[in-house]
Amino acid sequence: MSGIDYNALEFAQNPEPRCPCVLLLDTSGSMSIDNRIGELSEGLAVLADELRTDDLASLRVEIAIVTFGGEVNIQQDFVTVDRFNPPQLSAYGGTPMGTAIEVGLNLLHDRKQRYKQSGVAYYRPWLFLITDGEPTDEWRASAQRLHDEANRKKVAFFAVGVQGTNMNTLSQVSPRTPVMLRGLRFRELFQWLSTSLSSVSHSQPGDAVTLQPPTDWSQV
Amino acid sequence: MSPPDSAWRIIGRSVVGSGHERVGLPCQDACAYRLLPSGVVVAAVADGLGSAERSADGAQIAVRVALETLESVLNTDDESAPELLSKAIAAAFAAARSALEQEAEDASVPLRELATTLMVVACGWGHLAAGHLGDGAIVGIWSDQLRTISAPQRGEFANVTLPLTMDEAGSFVVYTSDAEPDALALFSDGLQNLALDARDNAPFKGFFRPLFAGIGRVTETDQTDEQLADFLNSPRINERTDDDKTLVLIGRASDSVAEG
Repeated sequence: MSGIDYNALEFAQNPEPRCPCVLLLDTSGSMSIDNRIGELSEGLAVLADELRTDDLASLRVEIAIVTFGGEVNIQQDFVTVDRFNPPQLSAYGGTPMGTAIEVGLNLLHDRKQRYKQSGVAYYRPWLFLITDGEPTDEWRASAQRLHDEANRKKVAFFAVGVQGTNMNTLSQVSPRTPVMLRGLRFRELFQWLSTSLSSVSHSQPGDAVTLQPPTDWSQV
Repeated sequence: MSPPDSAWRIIGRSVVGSGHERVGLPCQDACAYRLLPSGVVVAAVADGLGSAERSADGAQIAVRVALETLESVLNTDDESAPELLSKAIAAAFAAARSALEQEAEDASVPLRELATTLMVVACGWGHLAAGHLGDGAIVGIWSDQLRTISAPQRGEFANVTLPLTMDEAGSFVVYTSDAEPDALALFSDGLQNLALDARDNAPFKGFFRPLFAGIGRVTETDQTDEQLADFLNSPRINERTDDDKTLVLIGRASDSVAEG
């Protein structure tokens, strides 16, 4: 690296412990059905608005967004909530979920290195995946890595299936039982995510936090 | 921007504060710097006083004249004369003060309307000399030791600063060292909260370490002055200050990549 790393100064100005959360969002073509993609974008705005009402979470929760639709994109690199501008997503192409998981895990790995270098404490990172389909790429190796890291408590992984998801495959991808979204309750889903991240960010790093059950938005 | 063959790298910017922008005030900070062929690096920073009507001009004149003076005194091959550095600093202050008096006379305005602080440094030939009047500060690093070499100077009251236009302008503080620092920062009071512990003016490590770690590696292709301006304008900085902000960074050129 050449020159000055101004990002490293972010931690001098905000030395709060960080709670990193990567959103892995399915933006494949089928997400345009029933305007799922619009509801999902709306949900991101809800997440930003709700987290911002919590001053501590605003400085501690860091959001990154990886989309997978046709290709995998880092739509948003890690940013604390106070500076998070939720994007408008658009739907296109296949579902390269395996690659997206790899990219998400790599992002978390690099971010943790950054925290260590800067002397900033951190909570167990979250990977939060939302999909309405099934992987169209080679996903088994990524799923294996995910299972390994989840078993070693390196990451907390959550998977949410939208109508049309192959829940059978998603159960193999996810180390924890995936949850089915009820209808298009993205708003409620992101309210739940906001509440959960808020409670984590108010705990001590390393403490176990009991999350609310996802009753508002999940389908049994 | 630094020529690639110089022993030093230097970047610097003055940006308008969000508070000044809101009320349509210009940037009242100014800075200038140069790498002289003699191997000496010189820099000047001025912060025009908010209470003075033409302080933006005062700051501009002060840094321009200070730099011209440093350049003319130090453009010599006589490396055996480190005391020249201190002489150049004193000459720069005298010339800047005279230039402000001249401008006041030419424009028929009271001298105090051009009120500005002034910081100047000259570094090279194994030595460092700095002069400072008013607030803002200079921080250096020698073999991993951060040191505030010139702390903000204030009058009796917190909101009173000591300008170059006051009667005792000759009482600027001079600092000299017979060891060149590895890196040096000059900054105006807009950055003081972020850079110095208000209790004892000790430099904040988290602020200076990333800057000093990188300054020796900046290259022309980095567009580093623009990146510095973006940094100075970033929300995190503006949350802490609405004043104008100037930062000049000087560092010994290092071609080796020290850390990732």
